Amino acid sequence: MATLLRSLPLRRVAQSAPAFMRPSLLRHFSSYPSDRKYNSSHEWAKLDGDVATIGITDHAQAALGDIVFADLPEVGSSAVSGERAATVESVKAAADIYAPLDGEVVGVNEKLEETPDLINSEPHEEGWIFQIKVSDPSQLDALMGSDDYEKTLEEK
Amino acid sequence: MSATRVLLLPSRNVFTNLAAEERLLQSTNAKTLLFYINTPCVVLGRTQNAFNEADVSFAKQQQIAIVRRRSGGGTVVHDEGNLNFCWMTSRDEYSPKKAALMISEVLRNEFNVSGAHVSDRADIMIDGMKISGAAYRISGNRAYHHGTLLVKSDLEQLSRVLRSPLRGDLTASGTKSVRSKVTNVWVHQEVGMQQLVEAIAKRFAGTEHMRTLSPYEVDGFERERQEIMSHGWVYGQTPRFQYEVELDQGRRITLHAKKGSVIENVELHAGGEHESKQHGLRDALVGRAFDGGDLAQGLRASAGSIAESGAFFRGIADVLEARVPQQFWQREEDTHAGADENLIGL
Repeated sequence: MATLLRSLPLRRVAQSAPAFMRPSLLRHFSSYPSDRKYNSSHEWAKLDGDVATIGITDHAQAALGDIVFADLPEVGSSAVSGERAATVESVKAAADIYAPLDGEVVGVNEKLEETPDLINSEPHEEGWIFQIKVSDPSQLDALMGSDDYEKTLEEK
Repeated sequence: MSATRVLLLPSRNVFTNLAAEERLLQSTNAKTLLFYINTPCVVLGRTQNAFNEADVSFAKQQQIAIVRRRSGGGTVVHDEGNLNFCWMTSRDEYSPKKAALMISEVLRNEFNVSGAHVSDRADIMIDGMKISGAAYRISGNRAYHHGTLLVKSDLEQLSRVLRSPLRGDLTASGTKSVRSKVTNVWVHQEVGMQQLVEAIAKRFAGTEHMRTLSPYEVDGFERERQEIMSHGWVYGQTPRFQYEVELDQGRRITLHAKKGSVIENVELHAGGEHESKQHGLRDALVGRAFDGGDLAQGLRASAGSIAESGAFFRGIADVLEARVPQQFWQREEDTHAGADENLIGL
């Protein structure tokens, strides 16, 4: 049951499901992978070697609704922790995506040009947004683990 | 729920007001209801294309500023009969429809506009016509819902500047505007701006008390203002697009512009031996700005060096010069926005 629910976008469940299945309860099924770190503005960062892949969380995509456009950073530009690096737009809403770490942008998810809604359907996997070659991997220690991030959602 | 403060921006300069709004979002945590009014201007959504949304040549001729805002959604036009509101909250309290519902309630209950209601798109409507459009912005842990409220705008004048001569031949990525029939609150109730602002303030904050805020008090205001006035923001943030031009005898060319409206590829659609011509077109046009004069210049410069295609290139130069807007960039000081440097209230 838990596995089935995890595979559904929370947004759709939220609209059609009875109260006990709504997102606040679904969060207890731990849909946030533990192989990465999170920040309070709902970005995730997954480090592989010295390259971190950045995306937004399931919670963030559900709150935004259907994403229709992603404005990606330029490869080669510098990313500064806590500053805007990208923008995604859902119907009428533009949301800043922050760089959670310092470094150089070394990749962007080009699939988002044609299919920006990958951020909705697979926020933690195929819907990643950009990649940073990090200048100081210890910055990751300041971000939250999946348990702590989920706790911040429960407090809301 | 913490108390809402109500602020009024005294300028009618759209760049000043949007910059103050943005910096208030970024630099404070207070729940805020903000009001401002702008001189005539076209305001594009964050990821829109000015060429597709507006007649940029007409705008320049009429000194109507073209502005890109940081929120999503479609293009709107403002004038001094339009009231702009912005409701800033934490991201957690962000709710797309709430502000629209509260304002439509004010119109019904305080001003007897019985038909006021909120559409599925969170626009405020009266009898099926739109009086208020909405757009949203989320940044870090803050968010706002801002919108227009057509009180007594010159709707005919405003709609003219939105008639883009390129629409139809232009394929833009980014958000498309949804065209709606619009009307003024004034048609239903002759309400003054001050009255309206006070009634909305009372509904949101429980008080009519509001403070006039000098934008210079807002942290980071001047830097933000410089940025949103720049060519690099208004046109440089244009997402990639294509523009198709009919030549003659069924021949067409497609101009591909990358982000920032700079040509990155050209396709020639014509029967027969056009390989070398297409190659020549690319050499002449790639890297140039999407500006009729600039493109024509590139083609004429190349025409001289390729004798056999010279006439063909000169013909395309004439067509692009006629169809693609030229020298449309407006410095802020040359627009109505820049002409008004006075800080005046409602």
